[in-house]
Amino acid sequence: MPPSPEPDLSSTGGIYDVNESGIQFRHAPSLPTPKDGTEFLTRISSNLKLHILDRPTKDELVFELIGVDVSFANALRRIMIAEVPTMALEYIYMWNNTGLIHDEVLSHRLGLIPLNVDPRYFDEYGFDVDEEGNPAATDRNTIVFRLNVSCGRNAKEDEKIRKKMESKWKSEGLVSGYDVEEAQQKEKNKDAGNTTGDDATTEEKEESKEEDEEDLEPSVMNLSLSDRAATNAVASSNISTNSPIDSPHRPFTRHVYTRDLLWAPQGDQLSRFPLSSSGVGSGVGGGIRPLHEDILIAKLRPGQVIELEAHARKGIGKDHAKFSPVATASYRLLPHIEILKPIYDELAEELVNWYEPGVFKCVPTTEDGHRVKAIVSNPYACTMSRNFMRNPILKESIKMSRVPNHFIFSVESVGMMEPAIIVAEALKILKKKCERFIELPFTLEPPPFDRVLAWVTSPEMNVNINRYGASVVGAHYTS
Amino acid sequence: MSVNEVKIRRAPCAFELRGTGPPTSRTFVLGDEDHTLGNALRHVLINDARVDFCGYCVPHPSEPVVHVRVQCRNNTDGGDSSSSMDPDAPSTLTAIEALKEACQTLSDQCDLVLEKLEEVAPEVVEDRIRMDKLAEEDDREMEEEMEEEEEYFDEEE
Repeated sequence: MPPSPEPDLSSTGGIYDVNESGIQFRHAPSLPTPKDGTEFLTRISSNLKLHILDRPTKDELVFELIGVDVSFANALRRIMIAEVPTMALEYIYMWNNTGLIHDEVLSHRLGLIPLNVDPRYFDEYGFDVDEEGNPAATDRNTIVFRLNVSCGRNAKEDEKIRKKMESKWKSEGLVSGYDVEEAQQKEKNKDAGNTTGDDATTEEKEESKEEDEEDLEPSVMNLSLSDRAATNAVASSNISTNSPIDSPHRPFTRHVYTRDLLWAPQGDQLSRFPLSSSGVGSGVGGGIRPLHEDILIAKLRPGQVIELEAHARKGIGKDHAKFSPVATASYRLLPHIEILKPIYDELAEELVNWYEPGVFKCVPTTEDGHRVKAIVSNPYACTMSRNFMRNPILKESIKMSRVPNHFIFSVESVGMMEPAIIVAEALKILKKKCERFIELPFTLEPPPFDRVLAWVTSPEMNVNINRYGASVVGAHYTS
Repeated sequence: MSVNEVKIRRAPCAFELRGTGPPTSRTFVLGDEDHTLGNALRHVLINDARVDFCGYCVPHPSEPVVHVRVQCRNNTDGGDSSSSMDPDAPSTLTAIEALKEACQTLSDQCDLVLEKLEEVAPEVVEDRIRMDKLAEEDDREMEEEMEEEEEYFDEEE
């Protein structure tokens, strides 16, 4: 990455200087205030830049947004965390629970399970109403799951019970994590069979083989190298991750995982979310299932039972953190580093190797009989550590600051939507927020004092104008 | 049993306009909004030469409202002031006009950023096309249903 050029202080109005005690804003002469919104916009659009810096995994995105104010960047961040809707289990109907985990705790745990479904395919609850005007649950706003597990006396009996239950739920049209794996496997085999005969099939086959391997353990997909290694180590050891530990003198314990959750397709949900389609994240795939099939929900001892029905609804992170589509969404300002006086030889090596690795670089030089010289190579790697200031010479030679209109965003999706889509959705939501007020009638002015109340009705809102001003009563809008 | 018993509180009013006197100065109460919109709007408003003052506050953290105070330059008032003599002086704006214009500006800014995002992230464009197609299909289905209903009623007649 090339070192960033000297930031234009007139467009930002200043820069944050970093000193030993903290950070300080240094004002600079700025441009005059724009005369109206149009000029403000032209000024922004001439400076606005957006680059993608990194996509460490499918669910992560690092991008830089240059030329906007902190209020806009912060609005974007806040909306991504708290106002982009997702689907999550919201109502739990507990028929029977003799397990150790209390009803409340169990329902809370269920609520936190991320569901692999794009929330934009669903409506908000309350949009559809029944004859009496009460909100109605429909296939467009509710996803139904069932959990029906019990624990046998030992592994053998338990497996028998599970098999018996499996045939029962299959006859009822319920879908478990085991079924989705099966259906996707079948689809893959069919595809592989169809494509034989083509020249490019060998490559494709290999690819699908790789994918098949990934399908065996859905949550292992998209993991980093170290995670993959750890998973492989666990898989190759004697301990099986799928079956509970069965040792003598220890009562049998049944582990309930998210794959035991049964999806009960409602209405046309099965045709809209087919089991055979693959694809995690944004898009339709594998029916409607939890994002990970191996999340431990509860543990059961022989004879204990959990029977419940769970309804997933659309909601936003403001209401409950389980609805947040991002694990984290944050931004930081780009560090700007200047070398005021040249740094040579030992001092340069000290700077390059000890302070802020990756930020500076040693280059050979012929100046005044010196060997090497330190230059700034990558300001993005800077963590704003002020350790170098302990060396009085270095402190004099380096100036560190932050560019106030250069934001490095880091968005980490939970997995329901791709991170870039979450950013796009957040922008659309901010737009919608603004549009609410653009639609207001233009002349909202209080009437003369002798008239107490007057009503003005606009198509969007009921605006109540009294002598204290105007207010909108009982306005409904979709967010 | 509901997983979260405490629901978001809705504001009693979606929008309220407070203040008397010349229409250039008003306080707006935006219901169901918070710092997200309040601060972003304030920044757009103070970047308008016709607006003298703009500030926002959330009066109480547990109430879902944000107050936005807008004071615009009043050129019609006190005609002998030097600013009104200046031919380049910005024109007068009422507070509500300023608010609506700021909302429009902020919305346009979102469009600008979205455009930039689509330039660098092809998946966003793909996703938009897919969602548009889906919306179209939904509309078509709705129309078909309506037609079927009409036919049904026609038959009954």
